[in-house]
Amino acid sequence: MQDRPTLTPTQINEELLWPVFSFRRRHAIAFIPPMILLMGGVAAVTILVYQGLWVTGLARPAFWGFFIVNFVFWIGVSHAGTMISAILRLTQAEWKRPITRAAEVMTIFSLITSLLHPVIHAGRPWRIIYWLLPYDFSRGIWPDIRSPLVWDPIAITTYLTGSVLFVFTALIPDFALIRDQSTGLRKKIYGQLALGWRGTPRQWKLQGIFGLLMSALILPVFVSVHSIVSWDFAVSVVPAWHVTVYAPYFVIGAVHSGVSMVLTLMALMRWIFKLENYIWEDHFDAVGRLLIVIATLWLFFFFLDFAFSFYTREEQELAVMERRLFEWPFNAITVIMVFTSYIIPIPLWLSRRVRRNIPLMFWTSILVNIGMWLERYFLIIPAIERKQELTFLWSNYVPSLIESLVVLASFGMVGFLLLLFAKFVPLVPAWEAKEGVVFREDVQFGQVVLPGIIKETEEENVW
Amino acid sequence: MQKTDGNEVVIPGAPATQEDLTQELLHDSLQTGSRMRKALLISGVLSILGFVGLIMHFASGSSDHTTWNFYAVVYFYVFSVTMGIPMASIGLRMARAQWRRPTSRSAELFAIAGPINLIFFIPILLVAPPIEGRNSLWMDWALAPWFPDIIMMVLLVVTGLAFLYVSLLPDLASVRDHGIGRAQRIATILSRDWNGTKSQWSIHKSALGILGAFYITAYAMTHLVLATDFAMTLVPGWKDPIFPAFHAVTGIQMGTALLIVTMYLLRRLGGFGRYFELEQFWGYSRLLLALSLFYFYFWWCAFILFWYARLPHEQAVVALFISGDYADPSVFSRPQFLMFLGAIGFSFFLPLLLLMWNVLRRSIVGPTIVGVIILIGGFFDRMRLYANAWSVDQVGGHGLEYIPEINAPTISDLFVMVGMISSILFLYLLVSRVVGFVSLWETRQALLLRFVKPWGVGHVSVVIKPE
Repeated sequence: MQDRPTLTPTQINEELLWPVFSFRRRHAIAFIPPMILLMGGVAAVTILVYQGLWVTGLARPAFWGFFIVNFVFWIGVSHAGTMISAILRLTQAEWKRPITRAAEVMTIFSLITSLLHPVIHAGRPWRIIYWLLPYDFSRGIWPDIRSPLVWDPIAITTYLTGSVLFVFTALIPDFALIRDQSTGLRKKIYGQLALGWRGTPRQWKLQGIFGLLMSALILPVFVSVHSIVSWDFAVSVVPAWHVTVYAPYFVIGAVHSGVSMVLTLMALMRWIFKLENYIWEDHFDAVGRLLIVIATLWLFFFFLDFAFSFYTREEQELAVMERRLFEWPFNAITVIMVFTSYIIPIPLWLSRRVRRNIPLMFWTSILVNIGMWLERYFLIIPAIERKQELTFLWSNYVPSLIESLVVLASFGMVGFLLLLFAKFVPLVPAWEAKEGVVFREDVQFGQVVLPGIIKETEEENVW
Repeated sequence: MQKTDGNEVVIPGAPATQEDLTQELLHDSLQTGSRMRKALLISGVLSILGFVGLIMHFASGSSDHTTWNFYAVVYFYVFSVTMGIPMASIGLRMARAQWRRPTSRSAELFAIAGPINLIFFIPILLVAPPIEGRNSLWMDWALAPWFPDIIMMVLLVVTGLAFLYVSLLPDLASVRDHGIGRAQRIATILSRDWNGTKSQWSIHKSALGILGAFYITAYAMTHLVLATDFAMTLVPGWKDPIFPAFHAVTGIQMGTALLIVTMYLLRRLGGFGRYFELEQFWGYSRLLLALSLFYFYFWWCAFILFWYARLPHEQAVVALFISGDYADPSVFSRPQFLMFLGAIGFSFFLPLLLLMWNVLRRSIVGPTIVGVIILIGGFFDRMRLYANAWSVDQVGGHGLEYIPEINAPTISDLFVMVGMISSILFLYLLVSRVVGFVSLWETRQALLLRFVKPWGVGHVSVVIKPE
């Protein structure tokens, strides 16, 4: 068991709030890689808008390519925030405390990033308004609300709104903390954001109740979002897409990639912001154990999807599977996906020593996300880029440099936004860190000291 | 730093000392009173009915599988419930939920139902139609599907029994060392050389972890092959990869429901009130709520695709399992629709409506009522699935061409149901005479890992996390 440092409130304030009150070199250097990626993406999108979609590799019959794959991937990553925060909050898992904020914020930034992709994919982004709203009253043209392409923005914006509320409420005590430590304009701004927070028992109680209620309310939204994204594909009759297991398969895949991304983020936060006193090896251990379960569930659903592709032995479905398994580059993608998503990381994570080795956890979590990105590609592209009954012109989809730059820029964008956010609010909630200290009780047990957690005693049974 | 000798209060109302606990769980609860004798006698006698029912069924013919539809309903209902209960306990054990400790024995003891499930599985294998001309997962493998199905069933049953045996070992040793009479003699044979050394405890912990993981895997895979081979393949045009997952999850849901009902009965009739407290009921009720939501989610994921795509063969599947034959103008006279209403109403809507209220969820009676409701809903659900699927006599084809009539249950089906349930109850009660309904070693560990201390003007619990 790792030694858990005993922290004072002053120490917590100093160690967590330094990025807000100063701009150190390590923070500034961290901005460089995401900014380079982001600038590359901005240039790529500018070229695309100026020259049109021909600069992409999209061609008959594959009109969904990297942008849609990346859209699905980032929607998936956004599931981490809710997974970590809401579920762990409802199950009262103590170890969630230092990672909730970063996970929740990553949800918001991932959602924003993912929402940009359909807009870019439209080629003429300003025309997206026609797709979102009824625009031609005289001819009675309305968006088809029966289409999952309309359910998508509704679900995602609902999730985004809920996530913003979720994050904002958890931020209020920290806003008040920064307000109390600031002067001048900063004090005024944070004073407004803190909404008059004084830390009274009533305010804490309301904050707690709201957090629990939001956790319970946001969970169905969280499940629905990726389910609806999966139905973009599954409600069609495209062979290999029209599969009932797609929704839970997408959701569990999303959680797998999202929680792995949180793991990556935890290691980066620890290194960039010197958070060794808050993000312990125990936390990596706990997230690693959680990921073993999640990854195994993902494998089960992958297996269901895979096995049932052969169930009816329909010619078209078998053709897609043949493409996925035997044709270049999909055969390589399939192998890399399975190895990086499961076969390499999970046996490693079964070892406690590996789970507590932060560099190894960092690199294996990146492996998982490479695998999960490829999984989206594996699911989406082979099913559409092939000759079907009424296809008379077809070619293979080869992603262009422009598309690749946009994909890389999406990673840069999320990283950039997270670093920017850390400049204004601590990525580890200071109030949670202080609460964690209060609710911790080390217990002498024979010759060893074991960590204990303080919990409310049960009320008398009234039934 | 708080020091503990493990003697502070643990479970509200539980005996305060380790010695009291040992006395109560090792001696008092192992006494076979007159009520227990009656229960054993009645369940033992009723067990025979199951075999009588089987003989009656075979006597009336085994060539037409459609006449065995309610046998399949009964079998897959009992199988799902009884093999699902250990899953609830093993899952919580892996999640290191401390509150489940007093309940793990009563849950894992249901693994004893495995051999009964295995025996009653044989007629299913014998009467189920061959897979020639049907969709199948097995790609024309020799001996498929019967051989892999038997392998999976045996694996599940053996893993369950092995898990149960390993979890019993420390308590068997306690009975051997401190018990009396026949229980002690049996425990002496079964406990082997367990002395509670450090290395034995270490191996014990690893064995429980490995067997638990095996049980979960075997459970998922068994549901996958059984749900596919004995339901999905019987209906032309029914391709539903989520169905095995639905089948497995509903099994855990029904298992959890039965565990709650069992806890309530043991509390009321067995005097185990201090072990099955509010905390345990509350914990399982949350799990039950989550599983009920999963019921709906998995069902919906399949339904929306079938409904939305409007493919004729999928519309036929919707008619078979949900709406009934559209030729009948009144939906309420369609048996398929009534079964569906019963299934979704009792497995999802009513549990959700009741368990969403804190006051009911955090009580003892509330989760018990919901448990009973879910057990009824689960029966409707298995009836909806198996009575309909086993009534289909069409072989092959792209889709179902007509909605078949459902053969009504017979007295032999009732006999089988009563017999199966009674034989499982008989075995459950019989084994409990040696090892009890509450795990002594788990509860003693719980006593060490939790204590109450003053906090402000009240008290709080301190839960120790050894890992």
